[in-house]
Amino acid sequence: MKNSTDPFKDFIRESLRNYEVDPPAGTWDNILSRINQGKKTAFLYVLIPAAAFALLLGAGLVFFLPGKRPAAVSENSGIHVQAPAAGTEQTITEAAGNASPPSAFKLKAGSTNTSASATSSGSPLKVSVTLAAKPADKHITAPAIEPAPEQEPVEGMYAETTPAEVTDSAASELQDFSEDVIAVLIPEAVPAPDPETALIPVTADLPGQDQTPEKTSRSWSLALHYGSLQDFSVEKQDLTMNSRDNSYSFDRTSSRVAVETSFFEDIENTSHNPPVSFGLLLSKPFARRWAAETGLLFTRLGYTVRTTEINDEYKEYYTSLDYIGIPLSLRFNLIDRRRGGLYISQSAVFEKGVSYHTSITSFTRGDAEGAGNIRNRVSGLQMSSLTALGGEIRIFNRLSLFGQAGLQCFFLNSTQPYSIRSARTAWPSFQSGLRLNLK
Amino acid sequence: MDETLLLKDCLKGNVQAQKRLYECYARKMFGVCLRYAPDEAMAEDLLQEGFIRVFTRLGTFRNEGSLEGWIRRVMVNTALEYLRKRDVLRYSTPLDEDAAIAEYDEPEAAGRPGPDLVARLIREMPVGFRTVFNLYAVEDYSHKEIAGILGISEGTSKSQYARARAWLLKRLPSENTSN
Repeated sequence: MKNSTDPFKDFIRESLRNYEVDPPAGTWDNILSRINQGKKTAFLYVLIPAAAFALLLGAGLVFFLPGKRPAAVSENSGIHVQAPAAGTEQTITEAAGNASPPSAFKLKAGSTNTSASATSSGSPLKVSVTLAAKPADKHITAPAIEPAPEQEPVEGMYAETTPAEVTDSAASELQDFSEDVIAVLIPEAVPAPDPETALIPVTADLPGQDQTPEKTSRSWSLALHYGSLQDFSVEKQDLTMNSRDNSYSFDRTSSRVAVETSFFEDIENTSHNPPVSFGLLLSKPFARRWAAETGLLFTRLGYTVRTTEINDEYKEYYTSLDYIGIPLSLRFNLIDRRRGGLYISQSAVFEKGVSYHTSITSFTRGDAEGAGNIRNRVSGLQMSSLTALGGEIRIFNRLSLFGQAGLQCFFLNSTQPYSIRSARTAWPSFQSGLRLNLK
Repeated sequence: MDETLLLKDCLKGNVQAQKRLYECYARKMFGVCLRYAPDEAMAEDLLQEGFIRVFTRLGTFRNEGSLEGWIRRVMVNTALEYLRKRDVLRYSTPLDEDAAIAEYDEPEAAGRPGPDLVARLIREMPVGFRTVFNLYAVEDYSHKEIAGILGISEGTSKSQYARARAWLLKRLPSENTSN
């Protein structure tokens, strides 16, 4: 309180000291509804990233759940069908070269309309069939059905038998082959094989099958990463401190700048330092292509506000902000090879401000002198969502180099001090680092 | 009412506590808003906006002074922000800096005008005079501080106050006489 020597001023202040007027009815209801509206908006900022995270997690679990997969057929495997002896029943089973349990196959004709005649009578024929497929085709070309040479049945190749389908008609057309469907025809007379359906070797590259052995290790991995952006100056009004929006908390630093710059009107320039972040991430694959990640992040933000020069004098406010954060991420490997891979990741990052300091420097005709320091506390949490696309290159056996680029969106900025994030809530994110597979 | 306990409950988001805080200070703060706003409707908007900021930023109150003083500052800042948006403060009328401030003879207690009259007359002032007058005479800011807040020169602040004071003095005795 200043000691006033103006009696008129004292009179005015005394008159209005206890001046009260009833506000209009309904004012409190309006205030309450606006407060609740703000809570709902803030809740959405939490709900949307949480929902995105839960969705990704659920999708990952769906992929993780075991499902039917077409049986692999090893290279040059053959299915030998031996016609059952008269009066017996026989089922053709898989003669797969791998260790998977045998399953019944049915053959269908290829797209070239291979036909085979079958009769219901006559002695059964031995049919030698080799499944074949071109890597790009979804169909197995129709095998030529020809009398098979006499051969001893391979132990374990045949299981219980059922009568093969036999028709009285001259030809029964076989439609399509697929690797998991094969019907047995044991014709008495078989037409000459069609050259277009000549047998070709089966390769392991059947459609739907993995073409390379599984590369993803199920072991933990530890990553150290560094992220930064190019620094820039901000001269556009909407990116500096201003009195028009509340996208940051009003604290002693912003208040001091407001007083010195006539409510932010006399800000000459705001320069933001490149945000720098370091992190330690722990990853654990939980499905063939999915991994969950978490860890610890450190981020430093900084900016300088310069006031308009008046009478050869101006001030600079340099503010630095430090955050410690915990990311929760899901990573999906788009491509995973021995030498490297490509992935996408979705993260929710929760950060807490641990240091907030402003130093003030006055300049008179270019000469600087310290003018004060302000230390503030940062309350609340900074939340953000990061979506990124990354690539990884294996350097040594368990060590790889990775880099990723993405977009990071920041929420709950009104609880946080002014920074580059409140100037604009979405920023590109670039990170690179080293990943070590632990065993 | 235990102010500390009330603050704690408000910070927790207790609606009842917030309503108690509002009921405690709403009448006084509406009086503050009426002094800055051009009309009652705008004063109500300023009151609502001010209290929302109070509840939003209550965590920044550091107990450096009274809660009423802090709420009043929030209300005044809200009003000033509104006035800046309307760009009604960026004018100045040159005035002879050496002009003497009119002498004021403090009336006897029985003849003093009441607060309602004083407040009404302040509201009737042109907005530029009114803002400087409120900040200097009522909120007790210095002319240097007012110049920084409003983005005007110190001389302009002094001259605006002098003119506002003279305007009010001219009306106080005649109103008082008529009453």
